[in-house]
Amino acid sequence: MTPISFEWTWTSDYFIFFGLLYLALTIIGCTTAVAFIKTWLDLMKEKNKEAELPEIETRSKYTDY
Amino acid sequence: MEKTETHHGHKYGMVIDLDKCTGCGTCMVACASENNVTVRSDETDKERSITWMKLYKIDNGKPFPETEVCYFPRPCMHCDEDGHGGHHSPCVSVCPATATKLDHNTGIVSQIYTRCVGCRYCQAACPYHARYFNWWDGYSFLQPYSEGMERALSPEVSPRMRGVVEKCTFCHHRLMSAKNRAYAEDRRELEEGEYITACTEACPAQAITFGDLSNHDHEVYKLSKSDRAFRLLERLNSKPKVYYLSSKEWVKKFADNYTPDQIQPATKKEI
Amino acid sequence: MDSAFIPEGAKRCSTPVFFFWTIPWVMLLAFGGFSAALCLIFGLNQTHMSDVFAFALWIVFDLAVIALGAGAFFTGFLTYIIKKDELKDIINAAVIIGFICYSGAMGLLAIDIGQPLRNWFFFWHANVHSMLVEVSFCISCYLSVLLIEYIPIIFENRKLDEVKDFHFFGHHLHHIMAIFAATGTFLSFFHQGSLGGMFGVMYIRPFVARWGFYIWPWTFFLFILSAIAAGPCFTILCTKLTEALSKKKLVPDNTIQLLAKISGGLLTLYLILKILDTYAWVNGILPQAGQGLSDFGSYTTMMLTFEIGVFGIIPMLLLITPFTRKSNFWLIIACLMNCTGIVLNRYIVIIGSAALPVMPFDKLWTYMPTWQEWGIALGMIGYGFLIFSLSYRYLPVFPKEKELNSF
Repeated sequence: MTPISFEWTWTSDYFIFFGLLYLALTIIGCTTAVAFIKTWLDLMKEKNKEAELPEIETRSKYTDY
Repeated sequence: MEKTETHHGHKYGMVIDLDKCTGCGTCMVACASENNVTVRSDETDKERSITWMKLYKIDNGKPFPETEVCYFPRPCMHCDEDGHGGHHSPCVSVCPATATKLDHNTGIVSQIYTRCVGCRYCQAACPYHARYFNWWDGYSFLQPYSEGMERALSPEVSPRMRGVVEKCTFCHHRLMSAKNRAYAEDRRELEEGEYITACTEACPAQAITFGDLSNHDHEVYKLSKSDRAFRLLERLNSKPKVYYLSSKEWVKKFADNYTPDQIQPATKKEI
Repeated sequence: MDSAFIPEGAKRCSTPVFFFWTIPWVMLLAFGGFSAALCLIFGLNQTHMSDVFAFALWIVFDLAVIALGAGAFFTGFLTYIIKKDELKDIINAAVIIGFICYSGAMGLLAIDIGQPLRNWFFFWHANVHSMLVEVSFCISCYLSVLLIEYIPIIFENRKLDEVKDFHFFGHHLHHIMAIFAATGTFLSFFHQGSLGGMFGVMYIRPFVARWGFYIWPWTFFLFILSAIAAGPCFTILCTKLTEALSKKKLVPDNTIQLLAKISGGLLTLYLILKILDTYAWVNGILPQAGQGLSDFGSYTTMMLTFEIGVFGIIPMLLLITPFTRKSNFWLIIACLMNCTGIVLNRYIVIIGSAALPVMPFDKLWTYMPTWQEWGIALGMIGYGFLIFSLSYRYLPVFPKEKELNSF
């Protein structure tokens, strides 16, 4: 599964398969992490009352988004 | 492509002479006994009986007095790879956990019980029905009717727990024993007959010959080149290592499928 | 009683009525749980699966729900990547349906394998040449994507939204949803295809073997096409069922029509390619293997005719014809038939490949599931109804609900 595990071979099929997998996992992981970080920053701003945070227009409170 | 070592490697295979096979079933019993195959008290459900070596009975479909019957022992074919960049062995290429592998040094398709997850994809892939799933635990406390059976276990072969697939291994443990003995005698190569499967040894009619198909001196190689030789489902190109011998055309025809306009059996004799 | 949790301004049935509604689904789920416990404790001998039918009812259910759940990724692709704004009114429902389908399938698979505790071997000891590895990787990753897409919808629950952490997190996730939709589309493309590829690569089973493009047999592409053709129809059906039970209009007509039209177009393309593929299989692969269609018996021919002819061409015509597509009755019939066709396709591929012999002296095998197998499969349906019911009641799933019902 990883380049340092037992059955790994440095062949093209491993590169393509695991390359794409790790790319997908990285995208998912990084994007989720960005959402976490932004949330944390927003919470810090609100806690410190640094700025008036605009009301977030939520998607499905029966208003068009 | 993985590095193949065929110039050093062996290709263990089998030739079964159907003209000699009497259908006694000793091969089935010997195999089950040798390999610690579980037996339940009620084995009427043939779809779930574990029979690494299975004896089929076929007949030519003609009425008396022209009826002819043939017995067809079927171990695992240990299908080979298409070495010209083609496909892998059918069951090997599909296993998701790499629990089955074709060993290029011996030609044996191994099954690793401790790796098998029990997804049964290999069973779906194998057209020979050579693979068997452990629907029950053979020797655990949940299966009281196995009590006592553990006394008949051979220490050379690991028993399998439920949820894993098993199949004929060409008595791989015997290869290991033979190699150990040879090593102790300061030899690296095995002689013909030093490593044979349990079914080969047990057959009273000596219908089964086992050896190295890539060694031109071995009897099994010579028999595989015989006019009477054919393989099961030849035209699907699974490259089985089990050859059959029969002097009867109807038996040869039973080894493969033919559409009405295809008359000749397609026997490819390359290894 | 639970009105504080119900979306602002939405009308829902009373709590006791809802409680009674959930009872049958909870019972189904409990029955499924009991059957699963039996299988885990006593082993898979509780089923009628055998060394011939290695893949049986559960795998048919798995492949069917995954195909039907394709509406999630495809609607997401159309909404966030192609920017079809009308679909924003149904994307939440599609995501929830997708989540139900994929999580249900994973739950079923956990029982189906002989050694469930070894499931991580698929990842740690992966055989990159196996289609099943591609399936398990992509489905696992996609389930996490679906969960991430579902979370913002959950956080829009009135009470959860009051928690600032959930409020902001849901918002930020929603803002970057396009990236998840794109990743989900990529992953879904591969696992939908690999589910077909699983059978197409079995070159020694002529019934399912196919030629293809490089390592991908034609079944790879046909399964993707059939999934994206049927998935939106399943989404439409679930929406229509919700509308019928809640006695409200939930999704505007233009959204439904767009999905139905796209589904019809894709179904047309799929059927053309499927018929060509079937022709090539009958005249190419089968003779090469020494078999003919008649070798598989009249049942097979009948099922193939049903799959392509009755449950393929008829819904295709109904969906591409504006007159029938705009009629609620014919639209539902078309969607039902389309989904049935896809389920039939999965059934034929899985059960047919197991039952039909390859060795000439082998026989045709038959199979009937046990009640434990049905229990788990139906438990998944109970699970689905439960999750969707809870989501509809407590979450603002349909943005246009208020507007269409003038509360």
